[in-house]
Amino acid sequence: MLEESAFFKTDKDCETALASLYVTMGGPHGGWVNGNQFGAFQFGDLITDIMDTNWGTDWLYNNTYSATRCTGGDLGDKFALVREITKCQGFILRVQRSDASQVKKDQVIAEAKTIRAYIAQHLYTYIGTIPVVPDEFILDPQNVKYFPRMEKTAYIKMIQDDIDAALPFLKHPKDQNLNSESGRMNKGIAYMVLMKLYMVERDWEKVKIYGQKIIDLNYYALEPSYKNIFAVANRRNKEVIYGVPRDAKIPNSGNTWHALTLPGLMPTPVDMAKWQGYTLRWSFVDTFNPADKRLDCVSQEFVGTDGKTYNRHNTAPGVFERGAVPVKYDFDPAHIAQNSNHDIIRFRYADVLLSMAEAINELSSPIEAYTYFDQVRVRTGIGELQKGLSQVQFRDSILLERAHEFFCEGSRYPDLLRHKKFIEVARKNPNSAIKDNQLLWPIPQNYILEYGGLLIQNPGY
Amino acid sequence: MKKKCKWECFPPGSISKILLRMKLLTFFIFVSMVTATASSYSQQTKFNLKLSGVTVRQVFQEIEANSEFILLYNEKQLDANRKVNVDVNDKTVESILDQIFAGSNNTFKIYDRQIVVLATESKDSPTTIKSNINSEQKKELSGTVRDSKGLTLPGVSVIVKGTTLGIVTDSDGKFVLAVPSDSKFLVFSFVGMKSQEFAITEKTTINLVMMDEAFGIEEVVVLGYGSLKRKEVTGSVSSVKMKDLPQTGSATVAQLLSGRAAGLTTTLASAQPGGRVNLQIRGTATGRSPLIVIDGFPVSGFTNGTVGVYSGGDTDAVLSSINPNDIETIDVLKDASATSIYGSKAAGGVILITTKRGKSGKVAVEFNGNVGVSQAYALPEMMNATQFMTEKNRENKEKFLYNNQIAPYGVKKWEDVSGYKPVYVDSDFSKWENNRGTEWDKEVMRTAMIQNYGVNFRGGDQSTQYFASFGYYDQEGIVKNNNYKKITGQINIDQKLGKKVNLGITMNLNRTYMDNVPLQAGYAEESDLLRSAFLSPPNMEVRDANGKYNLNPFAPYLSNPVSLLDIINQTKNDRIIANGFLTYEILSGLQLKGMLGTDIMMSQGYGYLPITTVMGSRVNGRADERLDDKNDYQAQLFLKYNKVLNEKHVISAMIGTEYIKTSQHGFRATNTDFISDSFLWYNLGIGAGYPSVGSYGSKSETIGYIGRLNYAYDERYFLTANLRIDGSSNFAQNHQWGYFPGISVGWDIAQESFMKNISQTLDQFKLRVGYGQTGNDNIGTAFANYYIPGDKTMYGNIVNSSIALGSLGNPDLKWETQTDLNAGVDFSLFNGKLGGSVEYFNRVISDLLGWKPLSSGSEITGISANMDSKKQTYGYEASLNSQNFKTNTFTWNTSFTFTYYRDRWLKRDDSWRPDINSTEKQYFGELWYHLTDGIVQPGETLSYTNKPIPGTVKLKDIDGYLKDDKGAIVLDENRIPKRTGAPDGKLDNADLVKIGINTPFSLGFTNQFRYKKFDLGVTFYGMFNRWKTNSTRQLLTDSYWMKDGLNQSTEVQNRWNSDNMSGYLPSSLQGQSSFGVGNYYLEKAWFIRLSNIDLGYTMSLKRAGIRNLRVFVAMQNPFIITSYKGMDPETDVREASYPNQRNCQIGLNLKF
Repeated sequence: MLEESAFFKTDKDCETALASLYVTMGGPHGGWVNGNQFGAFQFGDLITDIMDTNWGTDWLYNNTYSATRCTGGDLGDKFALVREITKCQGFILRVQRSDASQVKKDQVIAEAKTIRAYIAQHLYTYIGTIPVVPDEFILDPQNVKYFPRMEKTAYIKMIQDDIDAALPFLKHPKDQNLNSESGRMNKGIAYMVLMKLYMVERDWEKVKIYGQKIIDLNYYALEPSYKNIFAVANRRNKEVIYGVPRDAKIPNSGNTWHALTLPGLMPTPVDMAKWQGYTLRWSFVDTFNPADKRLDCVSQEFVGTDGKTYNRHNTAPGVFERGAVPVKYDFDPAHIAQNSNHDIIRFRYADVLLSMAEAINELSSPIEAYTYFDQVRVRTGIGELQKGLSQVQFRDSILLERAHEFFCEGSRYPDLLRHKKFIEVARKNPNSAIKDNQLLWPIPQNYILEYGGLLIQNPGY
Repeated sequence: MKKKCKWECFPPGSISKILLRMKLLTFFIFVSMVTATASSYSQQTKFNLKLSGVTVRQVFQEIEANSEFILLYNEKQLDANRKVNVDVNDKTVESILDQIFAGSNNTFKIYDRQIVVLATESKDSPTTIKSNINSEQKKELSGTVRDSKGLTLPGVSVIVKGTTLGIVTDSDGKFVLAVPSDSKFLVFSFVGMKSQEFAITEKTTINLVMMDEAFGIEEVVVLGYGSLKRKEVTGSVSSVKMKDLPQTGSATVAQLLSGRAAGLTTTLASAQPGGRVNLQIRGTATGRSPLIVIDGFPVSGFTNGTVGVYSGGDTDAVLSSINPNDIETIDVLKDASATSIYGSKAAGGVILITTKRGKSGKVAVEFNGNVGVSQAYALPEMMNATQFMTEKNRENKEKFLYNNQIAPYGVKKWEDVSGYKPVYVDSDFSKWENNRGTEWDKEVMRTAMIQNYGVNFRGGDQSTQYFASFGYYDQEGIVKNNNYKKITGQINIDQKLGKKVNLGITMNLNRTYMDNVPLQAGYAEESDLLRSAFLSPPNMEVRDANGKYNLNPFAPYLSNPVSLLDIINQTKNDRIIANGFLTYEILSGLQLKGMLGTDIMMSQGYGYLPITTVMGSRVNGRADERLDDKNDYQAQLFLKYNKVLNEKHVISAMIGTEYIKTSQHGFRATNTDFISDSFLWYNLGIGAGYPSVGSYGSKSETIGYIGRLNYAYDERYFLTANLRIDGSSNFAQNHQWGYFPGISVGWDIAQESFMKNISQTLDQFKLRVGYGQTGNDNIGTAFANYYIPGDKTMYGNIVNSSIALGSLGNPDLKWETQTDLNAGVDFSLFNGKLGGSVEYFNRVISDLLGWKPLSSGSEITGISANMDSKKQTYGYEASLNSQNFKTNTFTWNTSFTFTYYRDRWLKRDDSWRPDINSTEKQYFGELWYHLTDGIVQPGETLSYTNKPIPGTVKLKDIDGYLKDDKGAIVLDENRIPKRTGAPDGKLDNADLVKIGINTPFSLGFTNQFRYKKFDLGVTFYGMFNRWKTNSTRQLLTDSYWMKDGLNQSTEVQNRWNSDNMSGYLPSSLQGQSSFGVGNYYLEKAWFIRLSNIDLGYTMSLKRAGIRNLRVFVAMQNPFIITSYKGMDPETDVREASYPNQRNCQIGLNLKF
């Protein structure tokens, strides 16, 4: 324990305190933001037509979630992230009054602001605007005050301002040491946060500006092989804009994708935990062109450890019954129990290109958008997109392409919302009980009570 | 360290000085006990000092400034301003002090570097014992004392009335006593028996039969730092005499206490061997468990160290070290007028355990031995292989219908959809024909054996008395490989040194071994053994043809239950509770008592997870080792004064101080990836995995000051007043000291003259009222905000430590106060044939120390604070003891206890955030549930969902949250959300209904019969007004999980299914519903348990050298009457709890 008066003085103190903000982003279990159970990682796919689970969370994709259900436990309580935003603010205020050097102050504040913007953007996508505690109340938490959800324009400006202020002091990705700095905020991630924010807003001009900024960093590039993006031997390749570093040896700091996903009967080169949770719906697998090389990351058949062949026609419970097995991350020879050494990939360059294509299509027409689109197609083995599509057809192609490109990366829910197709797609599940106005996630009921009438629930709950 | 220490005058609030002073005091007591002072420092340190006309104080300052000596003195005893001259050259400190104290009233003692200045002892001899007997006028009396069974009674005190002259009967119950010839009466007294006065006549041989006291108003009640006769007690105290408890073996004392003491609620937290018992005195509002004091030593909490992925369950580590057979009495202090003497530790009440001590007379040797078997009961009936496959097929088909929207789940017809395939086909069924399949529960359970042996002897002469005991207890669990062994030793010695000094040693030695099996509540791959055993599919052999464990094909991440028995996991505990005391009678009635004690606890855990288990194979074996070590030290110093004035005023007073130091530390180490399972934990270093280590440690010190006054007038009016002052380093200086007063008064109306006419009937009718306060400091810290290390995070390959704001200090923190009011009546009728007490109590806890929530959106979401809220517990207790029948050959005694209480809020803090069902004065334990309304049938519509699933539980939409036009909830003036008053199409907290208040009242009912040489004891206890979720039934009928190939109980065949729409259990699609099952599995769980029945036959075998032989048969828990449908309403603490058992034992008890 360190008393307040003894801490937060030196450059090193600022660094150690900053690390606590990164714990939120990617600490044990992947942190809250990136947690790969119900974090951003694949949650956005789990509540849509892409993924399914063998676990007892059927209500999740039947869209029967309620405001009382969405507290902690299964969902990891997204609204609790409001506090993480306050923590970033508190950190910044303390750094400002510390004795650290100005250079260090500028650097850590820039990273903290980017983290704050990242979390704010993430919450905006799923819940909408949230209440943000003004700076003057941050350091006096005993004076309990509640604030209403921010106005949308102010909220967006807050995120924009954070990134604008941070950018001059953030590193260019090429200046980051992959072995010791990978996973820290940089200019690429900062632009990505803004690009994602304006995608939600359908502010295509801005999407184009920030997409172009990322391209102009002149650092990122597509991996020639889709499968190789996720290979453990190819960690931190140039396609990855933001990957959360993982290490199987450090307690709770490995990547648990395989454990969460693989069926128990599936043979693997090393013994590992297989909880057979997540699957890729067959209906989604069938939307791929069979020649699409991205299907290399989808296991549709294997000879089980019991010697029997399993596929969609010969299933066993937990094995191909509800869908195929997504295996984007390859098998790690150094896998330990439920942990592998794959970084959790959150942002990658292909997203920038497809977002550029989408923005250009919306701003004018598909004609200039094809070049961005087709870059992503190069490695798929299915050729370029059919020429001469209308704006609407191109738009639909992008939505489908994004599903094929980013499955199990959490992109589908914001994509469907943006394309105004979330409800329609949800209803394709005959057991879905979704209501027309249930677009955003509910705020858990305990916060509604805590804020005493000041916090207004999202529609539909 | 500053060296300004005065013997007496220390300003309150100066903890460090106090502690220093206490250490010195401790030291002082210690040296006075061992009387050895090897003060080489004082011999080696030489002074050159020449001072004239200076004060004594200045000389002391000079000594302290030039050496490491510390001078301690009482300003009342020393004139520090007296002018003196000092002139020494190369002399020891002794010479200086000799010079300055020459001719004064002071002397000094040197203990290493501490010098204590004392007042010169008064020369007046305190040896003023009244009974100056003229030796020429003596008369010798002799005789034998027996009990009602005709057995001789050793240890009965025989005193000449009005004198201190007396003796104790020897092991044959005989006594010889010379008395003054003018003596009128002899008084015979014995704990638990009615005292008798015997008029001395010409006869010199006296044969006397002592009567059992059904309700002993003369018996001694231990009150903490002292004792009183039951009839003088004015606070609320229940006593349990161990001789009344069944003699059969029970692993821990706590298990014997159920229903024995009114006000003490016991619930068995686990039915495993050595399982923990939750003890709770007068409700839960206090939030504290009772303080347990073993032979004057307040023992602190400790847990048994277990290691590994699985823990060994829930075992007791506090009371387990005591052998029940070594205990004389257990006294339960319930209200603050009694408990305030223990101050800050006593908020949860106090349980005082007193072990047997020696008695003068011939040595009495006792041997106990019993063996028995135990067996689980009421295990759920699981499906056999054929039933399982049938139900699995039905479950699978139902899911197919649902997923494909086939009727009754949609409009499609069966013929419209192809692709259905049953899981099991005819060939599977024929394979298990006439074969139940694997009965997994039987594979992991057994009929277990219990053995219990003990030998003890007690004896002594007038100056030395001793009690020594050795016990061995060995219990097999009904789960295989689950064993509990205990070796206990007790040595108690009392020694008189002359007329003024008594010494004593109390020592409890204990070793416990536990073989642990996975018994914690675990899920999925970490499922505990019993959960795994219930749920494993019956159509699977334990091992395959190669001898390898089979795994559930539907959920191969689940361990084979039998493989879990391969885990080797042990716990070994060692404990020594030892204390020594010394009393010194300064003057008649004035006694100084010092006590030093220690409680040394060490728990070691070892474990190896072999590769035959699923969890072990993933890491290629895992070995763990762990050590937890805790040491408590205690020093007490008391001055006690007893005086009888004019034969009517009985005064006893006591002041004292108590110092306690606690330190604990522990470490653990783990490694994985072993080349062989054979190393177990003996070579952690050989593991090729990633070893992990951790350790912890802490120390704390507390000091308290104690005062008590007891006053009785004419055995009619009684008063007890306590005061305890405790300092806590948790609070800021101005809030450090807590003052805990207790006062209680009693009035025995039966002794009044106006009651004379019925005094033959009414022995006692005592009204008593008590008031007292205890406190609580056990939270947070008053001091500055702290930053604490957080989780680690990674940049690239580098692991980075993080530090974040951990908590906010609150300088305003102060003691939480618990105020008790207690009123009761004690009565005794017909010479103690009927006695009892009835009590009412009201407890209010204010300035609640709690976690005050701040905004969930702020950096720190809560702070330790004294809440502006109040909790209340009130209730009634009654106990009744009755001698129903008594002849020479047949007696029948009954005792009965009743406990009722309610906990509730009285006042809420501003930070309270009520929900719609909250009320200002809400009771604890209110049960709020959604009400079930049967099962959803096809075609039915529900308000709260547009996709009701047929077969799932239907719940009632009753009410809703009122919202304004913006959609914000509307609150009333108490900040409680308002209701719409009508169903709102949503199922939320507004629809919860209060089923009851789950605060049981408990009863105990004990009968003892004696017919000639047979004795029979029958003990019942029960709890009423109690509900419990039958979570095992829920687990074993939740057919949704059959998807993972989990077996279910046979009841699951009665579920709703599209082919059985009248089924009463929720269907296998219940898991698809997001609305839960409401109160479906909530059951009333009142019960009456026959906890013990034992039948014995006692004979005397004098010729064989055996004074007394008792053989007995006993059964524990032979039956239970309850409305609850699970295994056991008490021990079903979660799904697949450790099943409770029936024990059957035979044994013998020999007395020599």
